[in-house]
Amino acid sequence: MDEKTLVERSRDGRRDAFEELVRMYNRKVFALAYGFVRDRATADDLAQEVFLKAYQALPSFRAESGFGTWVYRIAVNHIKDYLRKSSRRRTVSLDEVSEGPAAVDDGAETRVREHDEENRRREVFRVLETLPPKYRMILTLRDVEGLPYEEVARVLGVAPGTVDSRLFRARRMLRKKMNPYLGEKGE
Amino acid sequence: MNCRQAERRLLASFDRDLPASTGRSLVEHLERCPECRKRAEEYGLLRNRLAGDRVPESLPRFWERLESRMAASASPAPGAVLARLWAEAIPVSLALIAGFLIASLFLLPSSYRTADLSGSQALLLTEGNPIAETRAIIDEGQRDVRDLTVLFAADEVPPGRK
Repeated sequence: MDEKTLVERSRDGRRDAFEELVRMYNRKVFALAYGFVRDRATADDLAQEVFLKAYQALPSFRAESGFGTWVYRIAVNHIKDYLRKSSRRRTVSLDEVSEGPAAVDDGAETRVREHDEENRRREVFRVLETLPPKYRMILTLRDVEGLPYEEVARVLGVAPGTVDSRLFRARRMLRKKMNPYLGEKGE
Repeated sequence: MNCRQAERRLLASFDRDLPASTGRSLVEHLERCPECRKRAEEYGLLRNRLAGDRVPESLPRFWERLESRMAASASPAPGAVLARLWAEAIPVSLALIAGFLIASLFLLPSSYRTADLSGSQALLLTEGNPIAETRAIIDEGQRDVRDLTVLFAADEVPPGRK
């Protein structure tokens, strides 16, 4: 069954059709939310709210864009609202706290390397959080989620030229902020 | 190609293929500019780290939990239905108003339309010919009738100015 039919049936109140749509986009919406909040439970809750909003707004969905783009747009706006409301700094759950590499044994070198790489990745995301929301949003959609360039324009509702200039500024800003860390050994 | 152009094109190359000649000049620039080469490596590194993000699975039973929330919130919100109806009502209302205005122009009796008009406006709307009317007065054979007609015409005041 194609997406359009699923949307039509969902609008007619068919739960099984909506369930199918949720299964198609659940992972993407969750990943998008996780890219911002870096917390599994919060990202899950945000994803649930996004689909709930989508379900409630189905009667107003005009199918001018694909369902995926539409849900993504709802997600982007919902996450923006969430971030605006919770001006708190990112909370780090216990399992995310770096404890340093485990005891040295066979394969320890690999684990140390992986551990270092994971720490560096976290550092990039920590700095990403400090960027202005519009730059953070576009980098997450394009470079973290890997959305095609044109899709980013549709989701954000901006012209491709704007995506171009905003991405340029966002990447440059991120690199400048990361500068003190990029010179570290192992980079 | 200067360093600023090189940076712009390097970042553009992350999103789309550059024209062959642009790609060649970018590579040439990077080969001879250590500063831009370092910058290109840093951009690549950051991009890989962003793309290599490890996203965990969402919590179990995602759909089942969502379904119960959907049930709690009942069927699609009345607000959304109203919003949709409202969005459809706006163009219909505008069309009705425009239709009413046009109809009022053409269907109302001409006396309604010209009641408050000056002599010139009434002539314009009724496509009257003031010269022909004046000519008829001048051509009037009897002098008394002609003088009276001119007198009454001069005395005529538009209804709105009374």
